[in-house]
Amino acid sequence: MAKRIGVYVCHCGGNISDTVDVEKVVEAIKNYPGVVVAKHFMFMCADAGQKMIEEDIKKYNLDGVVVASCSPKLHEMTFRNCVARAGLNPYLFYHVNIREDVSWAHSDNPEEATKKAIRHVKAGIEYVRHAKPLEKIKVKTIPSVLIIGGGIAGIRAALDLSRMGVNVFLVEKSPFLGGRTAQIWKVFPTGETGKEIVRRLIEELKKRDNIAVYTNAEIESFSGFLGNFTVKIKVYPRYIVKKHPRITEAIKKCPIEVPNEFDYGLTKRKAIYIPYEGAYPDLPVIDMKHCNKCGECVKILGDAVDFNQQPQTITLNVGAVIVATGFDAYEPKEGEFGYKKFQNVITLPQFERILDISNNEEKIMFNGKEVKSIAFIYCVGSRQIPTGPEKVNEYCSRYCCSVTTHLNAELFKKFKDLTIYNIYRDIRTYGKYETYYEEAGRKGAVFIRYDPNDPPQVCAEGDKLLVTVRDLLTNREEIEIPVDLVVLVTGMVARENKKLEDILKLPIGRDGFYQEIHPKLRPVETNIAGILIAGTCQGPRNIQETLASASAAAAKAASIVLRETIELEPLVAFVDPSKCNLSKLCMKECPVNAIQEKEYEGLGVKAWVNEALCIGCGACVAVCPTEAIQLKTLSTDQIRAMIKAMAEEI
Amino acid sequence: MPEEFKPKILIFSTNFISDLAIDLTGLLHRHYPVTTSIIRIPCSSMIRPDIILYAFQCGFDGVFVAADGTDCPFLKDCSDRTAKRIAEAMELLKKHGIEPERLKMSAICSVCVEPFLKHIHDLYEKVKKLGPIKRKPE
Repeated sequence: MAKRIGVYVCHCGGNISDTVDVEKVVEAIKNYPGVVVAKHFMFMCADAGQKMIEEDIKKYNLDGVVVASCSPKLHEMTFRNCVARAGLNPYLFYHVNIREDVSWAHSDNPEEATKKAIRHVKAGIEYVRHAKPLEKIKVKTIPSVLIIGGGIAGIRAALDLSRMGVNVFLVEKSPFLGGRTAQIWKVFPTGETGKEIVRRLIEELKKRDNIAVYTNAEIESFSGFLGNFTVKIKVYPRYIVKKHPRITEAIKKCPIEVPNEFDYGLTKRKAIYIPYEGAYPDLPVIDMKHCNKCGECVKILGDAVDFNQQPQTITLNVGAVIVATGFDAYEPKEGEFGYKKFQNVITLPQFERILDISNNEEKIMFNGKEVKSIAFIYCVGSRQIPTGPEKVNEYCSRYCCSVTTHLNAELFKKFKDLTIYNIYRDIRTYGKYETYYEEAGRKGAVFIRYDPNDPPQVCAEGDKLLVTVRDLLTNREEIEIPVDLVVLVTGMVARENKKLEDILKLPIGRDGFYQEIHPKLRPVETNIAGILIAGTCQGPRNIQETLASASAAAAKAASIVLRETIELEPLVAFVDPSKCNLSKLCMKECPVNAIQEKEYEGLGVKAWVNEALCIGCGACVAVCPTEAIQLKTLSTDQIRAMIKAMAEEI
Repeated sequence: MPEEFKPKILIFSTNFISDLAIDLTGLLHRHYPVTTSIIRIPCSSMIRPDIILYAFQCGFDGVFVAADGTDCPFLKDCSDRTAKRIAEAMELLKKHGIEPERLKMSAICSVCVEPFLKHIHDLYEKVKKLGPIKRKPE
């Protein structure tokens, strides 16, 4: 039983102390039984905070430590390790959450929040008073990683892991790898096409023999723990089972035409298709939603077509998972800046497709007419201002200013006699991308700044468009700009992926993107141990940032699976044979048959827990008539002591 | 005028599932009654009925068990097991003259911010209506 307890209350730089009176908390518990030292500090997780705890453990010969700070999901391990460094058993420690559970949840009531913090800290002291030293349990890990999403982030992570000797399963929902990057005309800073970036990654991918690629596949179920997950995937049929030299001819023959999603509906594709030359895998797919099985392609391809192909379910065992499911482009509402009302109002991703498709032309052609003047309207679908209860995208999409100013420069480079208007709110070409903004201006692009509360209006004038805008740079003078094409610079939005989110229980942040455990300290980890996130599924970012996060996630995944064993918390049950009356109720309740009978010297036959099998749920604890069976990390005595402490009036 | 009754509610959250939702609730700065106290446990199936009775005897006016539900990383039938414990606890409460409505269990998934807020507010209001427990002098 701990009799010399140290209590440390964190300000979290104001996150806690702006609401909770931390001095009052320390004052309230410093004379609490067993407490020999109680302190508050600006950042307990900082070096200085941890040092202070370590020194106190030695100085006061502490046998128990309580830290009251953020969520234990963030820093429980930090402080456990800190305590261990000072030579104290790391389980003689309790992490009290007074940030998420107190200061943030009750910022509306500082006085009562302080009382709640005191209650929680007292309970933490009681936990430690009844805590016993414990050792970690070692389990084997599976040296494979599942990557969900075959865009550039997923491929990058797959390559990195593959090189480290980790087996990779790369699962992509659509029939082809490459994601959205392949749709981009020219990427900054190199001016390469998006397809070229994808091609180079795929070339590397083809050389690796420890990456298994599943396209047209989805996650069906997910279970297990860090280091040892079981995932079922469903691979949908392609209906084309092998390569054939006359593929192009067969595609031409297909009578079905549907809007091509790869070109955002600007072009048509067939029911049997490859989205672009060089797409991977190098095998077309038949879109069964639209195919009428007329048999035209079978006449050419013969047994390369198999209409009877069935979906396949495959079970994968992996040690970690990387989610890299990407983003969706913001789809403007009908009539938003004339979108869908006027044909020549298009989005930035559509414009990229037009430029890519007509890469060999000397003019920009749209609907059979040459485009000589373009107006880009910025911040469409980003930084939206809430006007009612409806949720809007309040965030900045981050990539669009750099992309569009870079595009200005590329357009001037390629096309002569072009007039470009940039109708913007603020230009955010951060870091080195500032040069694109300068270059665009230098080459003659016009910049007009609009007020988001008085946005530009787009209307038709003959076969041209007329953009009316009040320019903030010239004292709100109303300017009318006739242009051939209006391009809406649309942002990124979180992708619709409910099924996957439900299966993996992915944490979702305020903007709908997947949420990391800590934006700075643990930027690619989620609160589900062993599930990592990479790329734009986490929030808007450019290609460079996407690939950097993919490599980070790969390194994190490798750090899990490349250890032969990982240490798990000693979250198991044990039996006090002197209390056991062998009711056997625990054995009936145990879901994994981890409890057996065993002869104890001098005590006779009693229940015994096989730690290797025990999963630590505690179901047995609830049914024992004599409280003989307990969880090592949380006994009923501890719970009772915590309840009693929390119930006391303050 | 007598002081307004502010029920004291004990919340049991689970380390891998419902505590994440309660964390997220705070992260989003969503408010709920401040007279709550939270104890983290590994899985809601471990709650002993006598522990729940003990909480009321110690002075809590209500108990909310934020259960793992079908997301439980340990047990497929976690809801059934926890429900059984809660039913036993309700019987025990009745025997001790405590209204069983003061105890509520609901599965709260790791991102279930709205359900958590709804359940905790509902229980708070319900217990407020019931008033303090009529405890016999010991």
